[in-house]
Amino acid sequence: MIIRKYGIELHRLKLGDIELVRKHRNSKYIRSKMFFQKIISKQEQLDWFHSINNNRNFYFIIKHKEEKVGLVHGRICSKDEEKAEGGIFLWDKKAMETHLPVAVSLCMADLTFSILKLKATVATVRDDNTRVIQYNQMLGYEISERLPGAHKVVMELNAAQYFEKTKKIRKAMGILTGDDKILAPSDIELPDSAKHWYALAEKDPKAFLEIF
Amino acid sequence: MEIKSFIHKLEEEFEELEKGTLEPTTSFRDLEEWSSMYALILIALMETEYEVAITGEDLNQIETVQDLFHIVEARRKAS
Repeated sequence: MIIRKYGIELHRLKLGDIELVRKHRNSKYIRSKMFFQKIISKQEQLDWFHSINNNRNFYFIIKHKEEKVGLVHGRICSKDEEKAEGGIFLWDKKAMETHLPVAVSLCMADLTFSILKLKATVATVRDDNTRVIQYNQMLGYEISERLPGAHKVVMELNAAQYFEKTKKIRKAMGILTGDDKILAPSDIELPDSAKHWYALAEKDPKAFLEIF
Repeated sequence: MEIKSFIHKLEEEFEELEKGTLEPTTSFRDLEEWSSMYALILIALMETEYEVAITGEDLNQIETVQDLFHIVEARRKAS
């Protein structure tokens, strides 16, 4: 599965990429931003990959100009409540200064709300990471829960808030990349075996979710 | 166009930023709140408010509020 949008590509995570991800995930800078800060072993990384390589989890390598610059994920955490959760990390610090983080955020939220037709997406953030909290608020997220003991805040975003709040951002994305449209099925390349998903999503998003 | 009113516009747009934070010499990247999201909002604001297109390349070169102001002013005069 490959998403091509706003000048970036999101490639479904493959076994061949997990060592690259582990190397960056174990770096001091990235670990300092994570809840789970332990160094991850090769075996732990492999076990993790087998646990997420399914149709409930969407892990993507972020590519920009042929360089692999980060990892983003979305996970359907509650089929009944039609909720997803997600996160992003970019190991290329130069990429942090560009439109890339926003392009990735828009792709994943569009996928959640416009393609998968889910009701909400949830992000759990360290309560000392004010930059990410504010970044999420600019996407329309609101703090739904504070967990001071765990030093976490839970943030939630629904489709209406998201599409309203990101009008300006999408306009700017159009100026930068020539594309200000919401993610559409034509931006997503699926393997042949999965192409019937589109038809299901068009007809009945709930039936589509039953696949997962 | 005066830099004072330009700064006022920026501060109105950046809701999360405390009023009075921005000065002509303020470096955008030194702001605690700065993120790529702010950069995109700047691009949209310059387009809608001043009809000036700011590119990704411009953003790489802009350090301070007055750098941005000078680019906007120059492009408005040129158009």
